[in-house]
Amino acid sequence: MLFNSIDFVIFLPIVFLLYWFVTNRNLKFQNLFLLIASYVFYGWWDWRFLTLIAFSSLIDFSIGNVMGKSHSKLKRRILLILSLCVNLGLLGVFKYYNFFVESFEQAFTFFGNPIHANRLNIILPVGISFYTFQTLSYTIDVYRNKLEPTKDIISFFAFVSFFPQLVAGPIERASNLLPQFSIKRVFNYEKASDGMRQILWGFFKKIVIADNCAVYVNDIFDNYHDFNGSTLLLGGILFAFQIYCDFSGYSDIAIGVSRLFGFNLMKNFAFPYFSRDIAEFWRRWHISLSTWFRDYLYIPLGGSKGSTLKKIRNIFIIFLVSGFWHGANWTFIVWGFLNALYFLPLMLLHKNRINTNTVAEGRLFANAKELSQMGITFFITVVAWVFFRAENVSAAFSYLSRLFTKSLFGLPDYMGINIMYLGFIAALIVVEWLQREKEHGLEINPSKFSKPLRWSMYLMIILVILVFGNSQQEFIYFQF
Amino acid sequence: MKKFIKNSIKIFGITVVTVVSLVLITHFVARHFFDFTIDQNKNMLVVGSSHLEYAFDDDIVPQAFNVSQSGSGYFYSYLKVREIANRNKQIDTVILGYSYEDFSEYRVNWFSADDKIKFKMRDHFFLFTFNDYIDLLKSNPKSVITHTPQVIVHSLKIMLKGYPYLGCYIKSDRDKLKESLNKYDPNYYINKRNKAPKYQDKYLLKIYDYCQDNNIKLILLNAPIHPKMDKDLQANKKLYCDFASEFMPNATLINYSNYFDDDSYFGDISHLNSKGAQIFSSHLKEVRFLSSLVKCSD
Repeated sequence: MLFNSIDFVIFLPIVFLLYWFVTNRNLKFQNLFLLIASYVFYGWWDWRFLTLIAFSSLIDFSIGNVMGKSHSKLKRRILLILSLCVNLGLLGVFKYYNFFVESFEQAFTFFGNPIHANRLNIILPVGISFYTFQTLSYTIDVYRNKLEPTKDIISFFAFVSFFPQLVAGPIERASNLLPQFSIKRVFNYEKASDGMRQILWGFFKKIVIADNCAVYVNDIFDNYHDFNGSTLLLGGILFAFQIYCDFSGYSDIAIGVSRLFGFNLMKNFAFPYFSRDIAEFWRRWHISLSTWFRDYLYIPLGGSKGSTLKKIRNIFIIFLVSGFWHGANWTFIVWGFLNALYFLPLMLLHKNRINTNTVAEGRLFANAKELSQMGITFFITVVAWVFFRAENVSAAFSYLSRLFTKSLFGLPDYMGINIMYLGFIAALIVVEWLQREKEHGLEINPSKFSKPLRWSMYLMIILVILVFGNSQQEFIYFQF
Repeated sequence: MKKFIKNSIKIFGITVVTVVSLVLITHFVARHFFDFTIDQNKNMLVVGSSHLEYAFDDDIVPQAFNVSQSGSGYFYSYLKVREIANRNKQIDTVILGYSYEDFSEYRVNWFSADDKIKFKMRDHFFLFTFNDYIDLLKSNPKSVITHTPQVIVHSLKIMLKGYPYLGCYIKSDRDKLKESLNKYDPNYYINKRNKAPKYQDKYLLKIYDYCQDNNIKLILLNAPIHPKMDKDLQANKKLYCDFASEFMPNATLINYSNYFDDDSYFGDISHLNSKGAQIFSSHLKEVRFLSSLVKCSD
């Protein structure tokens, strides 16, 4: 089920009312209800893949429990490896099998020995990368003795499939989300109202900005050989806004919906385009994935400790794996590689943690230095996004080679863009700039604004969404 | 909790009332301020889909006024005929695109598919009556409800842009014949159920009935298509002819589907380029819409 669909508009109030008024007397019953609602939410897309989530949940629940009872280091390690093999194996089969087959074929053909291997005719289960990583975090934390294994199978299944964040995150840690299923949730008006505001802002970003940008981005990227450099730059910039608003919009809706049910999810985006360097960007972009890789891959590899060579190796591993997580295509790997290249000088010069605060903290405007830093960071990010969006690596290079020509300094020759949508992007930038120290773009202190003013603002945003929104496009991150 | 639910319902209610009001107001404004008047010397109204949009140059046939538009099913053609002819009493002839492709099964989507509702409803909404809206709503409630708020801006837009926004002759220099021949799959177009597509038949007959009731001559015109496609779509010809003779006996059927056999007249497999349109329109003018190249008896 898509958040931006009529189905969800009907589904959410029904689940909300049943959750708080019918099932609230018994915690187990309430969790069971959440589990059923989550499976309905997911099954709306394709019920057959529910077995996959259930299987993954059952494996990790069982492994966690056996691991919890065992004091043998070897046995615990074997159980961890088993969990990794099952989860990553499923991910590998559904997401990466065809990619590896094709890459091997191409490699053999290149060396003069063409081969043909069978491909799997399967579709990628929505959100598999997200819930796989979520359930893995549980097993790893139990293995590390950071978390007690849960005995409550309903809570665990509900934790893995919790519908607001099931298909596109935030990727929750078991240590944060799982305990929330064990305590009685109490409705909090302020929290729920703020959740509604966050949902509204998420819908604005997704439906008004991302889905409208998608029209122009598709047009420019599909016909890039017909356009001049400045148009291609515009295409890259619009894609930067599309992917940000698509993904952070989803996260906003997910976090907001969770708050309606009394849950707190982790922050996933912290206004990343106001970053002054690429290290700051990665602390603000898809935070749940970055910190997942940091905690479960980068630090175990040695992190930023050890020899320079080891540090470089670790950086490349984490960025390449992160790129590969996004999809079975060389474009994502090159995207990851490029980000590693951007990041490396900062790390080697020990400048990767100089911008840990919010830009222009306590001031309304950024100074010239900060502006230029943000501009440069945004520009190199756009260049990397070209790889992320392109059909293949050669198309990305071709796009960039056309972009970096004299025509980059001319006027864009793309006539199709509606100036109103550029206005909405400008409004987004202004609002997010003013709110950059807050949790989300619409976080306000209700006591500072009169009710009519607040409600007028909500109504205006709702009308903009309904009137100018593009309809029911899937979220980009569903494919990951 | 009560306060939260009460406020949520209030906001929902205010939103619904505001949207419905704006939709109705803009519908009223567009309907009353859109300039429906067409030149008094133009007594032929040309409606249909992209076939006539690219084939019928109304500069060459001065008594004609072409409002054909790509992707317009008979529902939208019906709205145009009804509203334009009602306000321009000099119109005594309607030339309606009527092709083999109109009998392809996929054409059912031209009424009820999401993308058609999205792009067509918003531009034609000011022509709707309440019943038209209900008919569309019944066919695809989710899509119609989702896209209704968008008519607010488009009703105002069309008022400012006028007729060209509803459709007109498009002079095409498109050179996509090879590409379209490569992509072409006849199975997509051939009607295997031997039944006119749902909704298309209903509104085709509504156009016919409207013309009959208002003493307007209805000419069903099949514009030229590429010989390859014409050959394949002969499979739809019987249905095409039978429907016209059985349900629209007083309409004149003019079939020029095989008029050109030279590739240079086509922009793609089913549309003429400007060169083809010029020759075809001149020919229609010359024969005064009285002769048909292909007859159903052939």
